[in-house]
Amino acid sequence: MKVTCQRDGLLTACQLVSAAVAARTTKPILSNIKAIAEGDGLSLVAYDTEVGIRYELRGILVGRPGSAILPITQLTQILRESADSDISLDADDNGTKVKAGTSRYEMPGYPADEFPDIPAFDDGGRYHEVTAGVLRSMIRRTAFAADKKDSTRFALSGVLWEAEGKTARLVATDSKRLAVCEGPATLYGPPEATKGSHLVPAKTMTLLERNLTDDGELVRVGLRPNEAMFQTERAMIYTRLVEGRYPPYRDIIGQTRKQATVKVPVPVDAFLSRVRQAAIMTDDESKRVDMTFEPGKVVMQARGAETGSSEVELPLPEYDGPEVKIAFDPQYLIEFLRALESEPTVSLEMSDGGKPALFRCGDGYMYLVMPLAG
Amino acid sequence: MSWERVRGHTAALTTFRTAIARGRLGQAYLLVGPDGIGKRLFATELAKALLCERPPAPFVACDHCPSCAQVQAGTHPDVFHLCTPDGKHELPVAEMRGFCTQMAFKPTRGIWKVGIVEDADDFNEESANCFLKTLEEPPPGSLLLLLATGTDRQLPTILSRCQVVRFSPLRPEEIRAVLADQGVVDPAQVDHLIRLSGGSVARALALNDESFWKVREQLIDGLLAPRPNFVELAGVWQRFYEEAGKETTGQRLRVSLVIGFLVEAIQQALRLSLGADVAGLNESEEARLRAFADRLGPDRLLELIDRCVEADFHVERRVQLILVVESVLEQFTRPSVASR
Repeated sequence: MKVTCQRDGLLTACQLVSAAVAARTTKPILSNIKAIAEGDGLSLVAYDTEVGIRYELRGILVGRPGSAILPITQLTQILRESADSDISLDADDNGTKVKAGTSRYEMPGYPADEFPDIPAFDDGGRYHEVTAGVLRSMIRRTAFAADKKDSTRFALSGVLWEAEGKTARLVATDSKRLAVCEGPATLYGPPEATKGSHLVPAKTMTLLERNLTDDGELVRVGLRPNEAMFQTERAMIYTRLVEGRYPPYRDIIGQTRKQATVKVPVPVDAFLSRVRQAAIMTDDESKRVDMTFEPGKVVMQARGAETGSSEVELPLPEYDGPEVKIAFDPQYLIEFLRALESEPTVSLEMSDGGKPALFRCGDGYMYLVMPLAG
Repeated sequence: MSWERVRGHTAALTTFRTAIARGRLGQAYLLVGPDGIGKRLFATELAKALLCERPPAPFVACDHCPSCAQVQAGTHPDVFHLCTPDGKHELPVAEMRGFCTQMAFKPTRGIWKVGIVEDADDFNEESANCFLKTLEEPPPGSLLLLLATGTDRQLPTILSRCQVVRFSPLRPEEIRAVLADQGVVDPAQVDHLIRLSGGSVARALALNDESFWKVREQLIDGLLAPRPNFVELAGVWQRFYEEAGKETTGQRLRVSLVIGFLVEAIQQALRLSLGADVAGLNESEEARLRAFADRLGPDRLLELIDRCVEADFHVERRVQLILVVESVLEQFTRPSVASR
């Protein structure tokens, strides 16, 4: 392929796709990007065989259509260092030649066929749209709860993505806590015939979140049986999905709500600061904060064999229910409370210290935590 | 076409062909056979045949489509490789976890995804146990291919979850064909390579190296002499395996090759002493071997062969190489049992 294009645009594109270039790979070709020139466009593709980004540049002068592998690190450096406004690339399987003003660069090439391609966004007549602002907050409120440990339950390492009616829903759990967040979405096309679950790897969620810049922008989401695609204004993110059966999260939440006998309104900021205070005295052995909810207040206690003990109180003037003793891993609460951003209060629903507790924030966000025994 | 690249192994191919034709392909296979006989090539061709986008016939890869090119290059998104990292003797559990996580992805192109464990010999207990869950219940569409040199190194828990497919050493004519592909055609050279290769192409190709024959000359000369110079010969041997670079795999191969020709020489001496004919020897070689055999006697020769085989086993078990080298040479330089 042979193309001439603007330096600025190409630099932006290269920086953007480089997020999906394989960082640690035994296959040298995967630490490059693939470029496809056709019509008046140039597509750049980075793919580490788990998640990929495809970026389309338009208004390119294509001298010879075709595809080639470009060494992304060097190319980005050339683009950054060069001062010329236009740059031309002549690349094939044997190598890449770059011309910028009077400078010339030559780099070795790879057979373009050996680079695994990713398809362009194809909604297949069924997709949904979510605004970037909503999507970002949904990701922040769920992705942290996915299983990050190397367990054998691979399904839990992903975030479940669902869309029905007028909502999109993200669910993440590591089997000790569960986050469910809903947001308004516009669905197009017929509902899915098969009830396959779409589990998006956590890595993709991070990459997607980083690519959401403008809150008002619409993101098109295409869920397919084995892959998912996210079309933002700037680029298309492609991901493969995780295999596996997801736990019946609706039943778990439904049951918890049915059993709940106590409902406590909790001020977010104050609660977060008290949990963190109490958690100072936890150590690796005792990652727990014991809470006693009683009319008008909650008392939090923590103790570590070597660290010492703490007792922290938070007034809850609106609570006048029965006394409830329950213990949590403080980290699970802190991660949740931080993800809430600027919400003033959440409501905590629970029955006793042996059953899961459910935090609810408005209608769209629920967070369930298993208490610690004993 | 693709399968023609695989020499021999028709029984293994038939096993997989039949399984696919009947729709009864298993989820995990342990491909067992000596090093360097084409197990990895077989696994790659199998992956290609399963994933080919335009197969010209069932279970045959076209070798032209992007999918075939990517399997060949090791970049296909639905083929996962697990190898022991450079400089490690064991497969670390972290690598195994990464591999299992990848296997848990849904296939991107078709219905299959293939996991190739290239160094199943190098499992340690931790990584083998970490593998069990995935091996027993792989996600739908998975095919796991474990390449190993023997079943004795595998935990029973791994063995019981795999179907074992045996790969035998290549026949002489098959090695001859592979060597011809590589441009080695000199008949005398080829015959000798085949004899020393033990049915392994990797060994035959490693033997096809000038420096190797020089070392052979030096060592055989030295060892067959009435009073072998222990220190000098150990030095020659050590320099030879150290030239293979820092990688112990290459060093071990070289030590093992040397043991191979030592055994060959002793065998020839033994045959001569028993009055049998040995083909391909010139007069001076024959005289030298005969003298060597007469000096040591058949019992001692047999004992030497035993020691060499034992040493080869130690090489494989990663005993420090210089110790193996010295223990072998020490056998040669020691006065024979009879004269002690």
